Amino acid sequence: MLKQTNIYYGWLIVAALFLSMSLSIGTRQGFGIFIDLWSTEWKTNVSSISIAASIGWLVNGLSAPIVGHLSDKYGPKIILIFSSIIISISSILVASSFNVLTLSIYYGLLISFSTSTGGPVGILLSKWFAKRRGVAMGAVMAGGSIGSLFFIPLLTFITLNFSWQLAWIVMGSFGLIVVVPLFIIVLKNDPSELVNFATNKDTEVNSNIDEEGPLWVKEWTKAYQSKPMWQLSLGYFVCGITTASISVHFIKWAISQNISTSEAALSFGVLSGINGVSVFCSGYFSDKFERRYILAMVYFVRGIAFLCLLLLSGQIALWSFAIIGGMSWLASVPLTTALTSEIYGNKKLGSLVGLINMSHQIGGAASVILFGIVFDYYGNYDLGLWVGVITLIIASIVSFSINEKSYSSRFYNKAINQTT
Amino acid sequence: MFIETQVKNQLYYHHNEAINSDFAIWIMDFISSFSENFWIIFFIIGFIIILISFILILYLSRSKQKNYR
Repeated sequence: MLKQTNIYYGWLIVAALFLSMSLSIGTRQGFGIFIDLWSTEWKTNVSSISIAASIGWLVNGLSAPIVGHLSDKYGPKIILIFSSIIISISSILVASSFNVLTLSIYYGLLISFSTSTGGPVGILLSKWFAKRRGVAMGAVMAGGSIGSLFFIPLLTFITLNFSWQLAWIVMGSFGLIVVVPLFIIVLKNDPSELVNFATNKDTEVNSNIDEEGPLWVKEWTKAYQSKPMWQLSLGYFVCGITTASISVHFIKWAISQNISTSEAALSFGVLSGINGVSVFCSGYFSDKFERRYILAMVYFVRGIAFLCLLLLSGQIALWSFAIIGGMSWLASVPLTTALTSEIYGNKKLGSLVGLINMSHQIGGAASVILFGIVFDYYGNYDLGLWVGVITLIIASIVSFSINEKSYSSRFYNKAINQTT
Repeated sequence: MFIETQVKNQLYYHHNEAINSDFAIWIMDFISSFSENFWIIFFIIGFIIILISFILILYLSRSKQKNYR
């Protein structure tokens, strides 16, 4: 009976990426659980261990264009297979860490380098999806949020009841047993790898083959000669500013408002849960309307969430932010990737997505420092939050002004067909 | 002074990064507040769902690839 199912092959790729994303993001978000254990066991301080996390953060941002470039050159499948193997083996190796140096090598260097897979994932989904590209990318990103809800408790449970070493071995083994075989068997670089794809009547495949756009590039440098690349990078830079600052300073902000740490942490968990649904919905609606509208709305809604922190106080501010902010948290990722692929094509998509990701990380780094300076100087986060609101409004306007109808392959092809 | 405070108090955290250490304390307390049996059942159900998804994806993938050949 299953043989007769008419599931588009691209959805199997989405399912495989969903599982891998849930594992990789779940593992990375679980890093903080081990800090106190490591500092006690290795007789070191938290600041020394945080070096590994800082190195990881930098490596992840800087390696994105490199991984993207390799994906453009060798195809996303082989890069994703190698990445998943390195992540899995490195996770097992983390269990053998005995000081900050070994942790920095296994986690800060190897895992962080291999998890900057935005480029290859973007290429793969762009090649397999045209009409439902937004939904496909949103579904994969949602894997990260949903995975965190399962894997963070799992890591914590194993650590509390057995040992932190076993927690990392389990995560690494899960990657080797589940993700690597899935990638090897299921992933295909292009629909053409399925031999008779040309006879396939699926509209996803056919619409993908016909795609082309006026700004499609063969060299990544050419993309920077046009406006949309700067508009997308600026929006993502602001995305980095606002997500990184909140992620680091949110609980400290809550304490400054006399809110308990546990309630603040719970609200951040709620934000992640809402985000899992909203990232999928934003992808779905972006397939129905122009993506720039949804992207502009995402930044605008996040601006309102920031405004809640400024204008409201105490628990009302906290929960308003969690609910409104959750609607926009990761939603910019699938939209930006989809727009990049449709405006600049798939030829250098890995490099371009990697470069845009780098601007995101730079914005994040700058904001973490800025928010800290503001708090040290004024004793509150108001100035930093106002910077967030203003930059989000700018990002919203800039995203709205992207001339999608002229440059995106979604509309360009239709215009050409109408002309001819 | 600022950087020292930052490094002491929190870890860098981003979309895919390490979580705030305060959250780690909270999640430890949260996990401890439920019984061990509850979590074992929760994780078994989770693993069964993952296993079924894994087998289903592989099965559909193989059958699809056969159909295309």
